[in-house]
Amino acid sequence: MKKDDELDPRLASLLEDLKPVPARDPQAASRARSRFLAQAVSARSAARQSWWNIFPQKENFTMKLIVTSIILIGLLFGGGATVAAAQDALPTDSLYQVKLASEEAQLAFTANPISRIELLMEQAQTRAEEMVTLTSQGLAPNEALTIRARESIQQALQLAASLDEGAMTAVLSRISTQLQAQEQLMTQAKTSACAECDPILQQTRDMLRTQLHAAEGGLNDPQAFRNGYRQQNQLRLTQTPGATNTPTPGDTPFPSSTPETSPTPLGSCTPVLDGSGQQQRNGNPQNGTTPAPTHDDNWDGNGNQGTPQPTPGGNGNGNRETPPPTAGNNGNGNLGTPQPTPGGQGGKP
Amino acid sequence: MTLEQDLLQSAHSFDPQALAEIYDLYSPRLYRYAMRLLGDACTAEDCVAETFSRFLKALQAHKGPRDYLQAYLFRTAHNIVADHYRRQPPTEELSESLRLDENTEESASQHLRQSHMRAAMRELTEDQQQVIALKYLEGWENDEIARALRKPLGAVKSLQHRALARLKQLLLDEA
Repeated sequence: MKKDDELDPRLASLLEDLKPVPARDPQAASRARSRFLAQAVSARSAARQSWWNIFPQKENFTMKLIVTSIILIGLLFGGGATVAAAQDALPTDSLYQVKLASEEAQLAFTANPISRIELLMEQAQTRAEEMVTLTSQGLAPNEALTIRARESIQQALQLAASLDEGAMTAVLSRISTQLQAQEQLMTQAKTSACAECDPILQQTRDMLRTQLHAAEGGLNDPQAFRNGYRQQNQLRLTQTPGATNTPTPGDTPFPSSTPETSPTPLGSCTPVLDGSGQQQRNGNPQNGTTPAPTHDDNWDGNGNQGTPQPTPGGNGNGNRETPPPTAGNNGNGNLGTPQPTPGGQGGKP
Repeated sequence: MTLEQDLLQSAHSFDPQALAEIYDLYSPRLYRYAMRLLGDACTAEDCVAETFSRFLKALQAHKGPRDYLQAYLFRTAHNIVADHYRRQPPTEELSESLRLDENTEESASQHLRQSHMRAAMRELTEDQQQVIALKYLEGWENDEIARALRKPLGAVKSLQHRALARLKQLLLDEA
């Protein structure tokens, strides 16, 4: 053995003491995984939008206009066929991204809230149908499908909460029917499912039941339903300016008994790593804008790794301690939403 | 192309399947690493979550690793552990898990040895800590550690040598 690798046996024994690690709590691990996947879906949407910022500010408007025109012309004289062909694409197909992009575009061009709700519920239905089709082909659907469906439904419920009472009741009634139909669809899918499809189908059914519970709650007590979403929106606006409203797994202002919507936030264990340690010291726990020392975990190759950097707002988890608006909700809706963190991820050239 | 590079390439385009695979592949290892250094399950879970959160943010900013994903993730996790200790110096309270076993003499004794070892590790520089943790706790080779630290092999060996000398001084000489 080379001299560099020589280790005093007594020291080796002390280091050995650190090796045994108790088994990881499977529930905590599963929750963390779900949160990461939800965060990944949000990051993907945000990354798509950030491509719009590749042009210098001065030329931004002109370039956006040009790019938009090119895309529109392309869609009108040729791309339309691709988009049409993509409508039957499955997540395993190369045209699936076109399908998702066309859905997003359709939503972006729909201003009427009721039409938006209809579109969102159609998208949730499409995700459910995709899962059933994949299952019938013996392929286990990806968890991202469940997450997308949940985001669509939650956005629809949130929009419903902003309608006047008559319209809200009608819309919630329709949403309930659609959710029941989707749950039914998922239940029927089980009969021909592959063995490894069961957990994800079960997870989706749980999610649908949770959302159905929320919609029915709105029909039973419209005021509480509206207040729940209003408080949630206010919290988001006051706590995370500029944050997207991407819901977290199980993010609904109504209590749920399903494990899929566990109200226990990860940060409830130890908030010290969530970027809020500094907030507590200066008594400003709301906006999380206190600069906190952090490390550069990007590659700079200049030996400066680990230099403390100012971290405005921390790491996207800065709101994990926020009390929930109502029982059963994790209270912030931003766990899965990446926040701008110049220091948190380094940002060095 | 290796599996790691393959996954990383897909991760840059936010392929959910690839991101899930990356999580499943590295999350248990990162958890073990964080647990060994932090000694607390909840904090270790937070560390893993924050590591992957920073990874996603780096991808979003069109940065992040182009190769050596494992090295990148462990470096990030180590930085988070270091930040944690900087913000909140450790207290020597017995953990909940230990309280359940406190009638077991061996368990308490092991906990004390672990606390002592962790305290000694914290006396090292951050690079030295990382070299010792990756080499002797995770069993990495020097060239892998060099990639994680983005330092030449010689520098890693030097860090290791100094770290071992310091640990000996702290743990063995004082005994």
